[in-house]
Formats: sequence, C-alpha cells, structure tokens
Amino acid sequence: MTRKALLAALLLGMCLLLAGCEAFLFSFEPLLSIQNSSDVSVRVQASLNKGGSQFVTIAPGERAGVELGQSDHWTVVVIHDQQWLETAKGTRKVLAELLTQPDKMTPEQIRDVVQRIKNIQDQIDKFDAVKGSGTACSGSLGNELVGHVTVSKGSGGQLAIACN
Amino acid sequence: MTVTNAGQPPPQTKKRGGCGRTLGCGCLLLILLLALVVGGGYWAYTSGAISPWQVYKLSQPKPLTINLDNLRDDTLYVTVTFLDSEDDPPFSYDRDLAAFDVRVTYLQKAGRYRIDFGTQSGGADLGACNLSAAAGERYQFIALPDKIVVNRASQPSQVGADYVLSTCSFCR
Repeated sequence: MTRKALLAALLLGMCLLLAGCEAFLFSFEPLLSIQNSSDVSVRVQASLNKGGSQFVTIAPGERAGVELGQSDHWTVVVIHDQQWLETAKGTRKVLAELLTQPDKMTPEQIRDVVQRIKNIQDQIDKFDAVKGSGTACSGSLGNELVGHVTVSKGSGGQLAIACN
Repeated sequence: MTVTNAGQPPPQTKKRGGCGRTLGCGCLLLILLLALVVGGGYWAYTSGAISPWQVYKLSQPKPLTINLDNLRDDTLYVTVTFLDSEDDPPFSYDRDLAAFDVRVTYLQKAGRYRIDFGTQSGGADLGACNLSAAAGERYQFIALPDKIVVNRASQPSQVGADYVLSTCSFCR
C-alpha cells in the first residue's frame, strides 16, 4: 500500500512538473519594446526577419510592443509619415473601388484584390530608402526574450533610434 | 476414502513484485530520463549553447498569424477572444491601432476565435469575425472607412463576398 501510494505520488509529481514546464514555456511572448523618449509622436516601422513589417505610432513618452513571433532579428526605422500615407491611401482607394459589389466580382477581379492585399505588405517592405537615412538600427534577441529600442531626439534636433 | 483434486485448478503461488516492479522500474527510468533532460537543458542554458528564444521556438506550435491593417482615418480597436479557452472569462486581449498602423498578431493555439472591430475600446460596431482557425494559417484584416476587408492569405477564397467581413462565409 505504501509503495503504491509512493508511485502514485511520483506519477502525480511528474505530471505536475511537465504541466508546469509547459505553462512556463507558453507564458513567454517574445516582444520588441519600443520606447519613444522624444517629445514628438513618431511612426516606427519594424521589419522582422520572419514576419514581414509592422507600423506603429507612438506618442511622446509612450512605449509600444511589437510581437516578434518566430523572428529573432529586426530592423527598426522611424518612417516619414507622408511617404507611408500616400501608399496606404492609394491602396485603400483601389480596394474600396474593387469591393463595391463583392458578390458580382469576376475571378480576375478576385485575383486583383488578393494581389492588392499582398502588395500592402510588399509596399511596406520597400521603404529601403529610409533605412539608409541614419534613423534606423538593427538588433537581435540575446539572452532575453524582449528586445529594446529607444527613439530620442539627437543633438541636432533630429530623431535618433537605438537598438539595445 | 481417497480425496483427489482432479478437475480443480492447481493452487496459485503468490508472485512477488510482478506488476509493481515493472511500474516501479518504468517510473525510475522516466525520472532518470527527466533528470537527464533537465540537467542537460540547464547545462546548455548556463553554458550559452541554447538561448531562451531557441527554447521558446522549439516549444511553440506553428503560430496562427493575424495581420491587422488600419487604413481608416481614426483609431481602430480590435479585441481577440479565444472561444475554446477553458478560462472563465475566456482569454482575450485588445489591440488599438492608430490611423494607418499595421500590426501582426501571433496566436499560439488553433481553435475558435472571435475578433471584434470597433471605433471604441471593446466595441464591435465595425463588425466581428468568428473564426475556426488551424495552426499555420494567416488571416489579413484591412479596415477601410466603410468596410473591413478579409483575406484568408493561406488559402484565398474564390468567392468575392468572402473578402468583405459582413458577408464573409468563414467569419460567421
């Protein structure tokens, strides 16, 4: 009886240990934390090595988190708002026109919609010119599951960005 | 008078440690294996052979990806609720996207999700999508001023009505 109780306790202990390990691993959420230490609102583009690009607007003094998913390397730039707005507004105009009567769309129009949607991501990825302007930095996940980026005002009043 | 025991089963001899011993040995082996894995893992972690990110990546199933593109002129509030959650209330989280922000959300569990789109935090005045999503799938939601465009990017639909949230067949 004592042996059986011991075995049962051991099995229970192992189950709890395994469940705990799973909960521990699933509690991680790799994140890129971007702090805007400047006194102006900024739009930041984060390009992830395995997850495309994302845009976030961060108010002065605020912090935004970008989920990294399966990515462990990133390039972050402070983007010129106007450049992105022109692209985005052009895309929304075309999409709105194409989807006026969605139930009457031809297969060709559907393919066009899919391509336009795909192009949004592609267009975001094409802001290479900005990456060379000095307001960009790259980083990788090290021993932590959170990467840190800080946007600040440089000595000349221009925006500066640093990946820690 | 002779008494025979013909036709009766032979007396049983008591086996010692049969099932209990096998179970015990199995448990011991499992514990040793576990200790080896934990010890090896600890050594690899402290020596820098593996990073937390690598452990995380190994432990995760292929994520479900949700792209949220706000092409509206105002802030978009998105609430994602995992309907298969065993928690009460179910697991959910909010995302607010400023005008023309683009965000990607990774969900680690396949299953049923409800995604609400609103002009205020927690609202659903712009529509909602009840998804049954499988691991590795990718969905795109593009908020326009008068509608929300949906695309199951991993398997684009051949039906035009599926590209608008209000008429989408996989967003019922």
